[in-house]
Amino acid sequence: MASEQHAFAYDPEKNYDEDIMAQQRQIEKEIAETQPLVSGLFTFDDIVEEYTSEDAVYRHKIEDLKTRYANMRKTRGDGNCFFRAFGFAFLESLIKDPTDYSRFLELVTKSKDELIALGFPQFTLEDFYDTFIDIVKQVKSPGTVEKLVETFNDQGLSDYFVVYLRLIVSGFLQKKEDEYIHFIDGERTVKQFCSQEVEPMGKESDHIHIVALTKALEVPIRVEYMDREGLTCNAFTFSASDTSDDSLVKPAVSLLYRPGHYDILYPL
Amino acid sequence: MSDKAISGVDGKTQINSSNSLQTENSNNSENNLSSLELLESGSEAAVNIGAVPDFLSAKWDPDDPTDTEVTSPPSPSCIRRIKNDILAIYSEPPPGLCVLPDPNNITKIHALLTGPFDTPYEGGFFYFLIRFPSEYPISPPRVRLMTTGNGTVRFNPNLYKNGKVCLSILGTWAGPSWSPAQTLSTVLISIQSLMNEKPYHNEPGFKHERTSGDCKHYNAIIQHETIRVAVCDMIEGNIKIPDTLRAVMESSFPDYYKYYVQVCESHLHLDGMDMNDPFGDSRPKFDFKSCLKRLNSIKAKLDNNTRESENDDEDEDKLSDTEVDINDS
Repeated sequence: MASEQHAFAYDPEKNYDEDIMAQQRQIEKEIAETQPLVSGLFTFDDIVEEYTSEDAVYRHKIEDLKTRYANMRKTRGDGNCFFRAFGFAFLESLIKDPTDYSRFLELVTKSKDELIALGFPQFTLEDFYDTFIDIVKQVKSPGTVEKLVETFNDQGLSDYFVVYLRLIVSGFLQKKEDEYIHFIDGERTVKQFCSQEVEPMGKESDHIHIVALTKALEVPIRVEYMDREGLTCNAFTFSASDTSDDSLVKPAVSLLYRPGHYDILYPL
Repeated sequence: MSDKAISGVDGKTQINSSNSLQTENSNNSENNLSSLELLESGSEAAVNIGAVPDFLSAKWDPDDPTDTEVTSPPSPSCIRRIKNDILAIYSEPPPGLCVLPDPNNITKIHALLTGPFDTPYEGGFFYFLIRFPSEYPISPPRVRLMTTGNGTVRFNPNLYKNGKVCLSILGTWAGPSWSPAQTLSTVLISIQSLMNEKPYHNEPGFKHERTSGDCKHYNAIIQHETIRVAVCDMIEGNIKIPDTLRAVMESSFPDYYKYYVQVCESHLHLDGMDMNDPFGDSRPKFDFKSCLKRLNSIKAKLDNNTRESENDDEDEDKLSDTEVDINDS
């Protein structure tokens, strides 16, 4: 270690903070420029090289995915990918099949007053809510997938949509505090957990976020876990109610999870 | 069921959580030193960006010309939200807090915080400049403390002499980060909570006194600097501040006058001694006697003004000579 330290010559005239910050900004900029918030459709053949450059085991897993899914969309890795991927994929599913639209609209319309009752300031909430509802209503106006892609790539609109989904999750966890307190690590209350891990933008989603969102919106989600072990992806279905049998649930949204990131999957 | 306001961020909780951050031992030094220590503690820090805590690289200065979020124009939804934030403070003003949007730029806020009761900051006037970035409320506001005796006084382990405010919701400190549901009011209340009864303990790793009596001693330093810099300097006009806020200070001064005098008189025995800052900051010698002198002449001047204005009852436009920022377009 000592010799390594000597290898670094500290220059007192140099401002290292500035250097590090500049580098970090550059990286952020590069991510922002190369990755759309929600991409166009990719086939698995398009992405096989990119994935397998990380780990060869992914080649088998992609073959496995191909047996169940036709194609995919990528989302930007900005810590909001789960919420953004879910939001886009669910609204897209409503464009294709509007059966669930009225129920969903009614549920999210009610959510505003529930959140205000929990103590969120009305004026902050209304901004996010209004944008959220506008985007949801695009599905019926009449909605096109192209327009939805455009909306979700408008940083301002897209982020407000994510903010509101985060608030819904926070509100749900706080309402069900008794049930969820056991799943929170560290000496934290549910409210603290929400203000630290759910409400801030860019905080990555864990199992608990997915469970809460699924149940709050009553939208079942399937996640294909693409980790480095085994040869196939492990699918897990988050059911919208506590009673239904996983095997009977038809997920409205399918997501692909690679460590730290969620993308959108389209079943065959 | 929680019925507490989400926006009411508990500043104490954040401070405690940063106290427990034992790995971050570089906080008692200023910015540049922090990164130097990081670099020295392992050269990989220079290579691996991930090793640098986010809060060291977070943008914080409202006047930073390299901060593109501050220099780029805000969207209509951003402006609407800023107005709502300000209106919320006007309709329910938190105690000891006064805000004024810049007449030339709504994204820029001048705020005056009066030091809370029963703290060493009591009666001090702390002027903050706040700037909403174009990404607000997705990104947090940028905040700078202007009351720093020209960059010479560190009022708190979290309030640096260069004006940087170390607060997790601003992204400048470890702990719970900003969320878009928070507001200008949340930020100001959190800053107010940094100015507590025993600011010594805000420093990570100083949950307990290193030397017995440190806490009380640090309070005496802060009381001195509050009266010298956050009262006398502020009112004597050693800092540029909008007239509306100046008027607030001048009208509060007489209410605190007796308290100021009592603080000075009870500490006169310290005069001439080195402050010996427990965190090693360089400080002047205690001089409560000069503070008393300055307080008296401010009192005399303000009394005189009051008499004059009673004779001459003309109220000029308070905003007339507010600072105009030519950088803003």
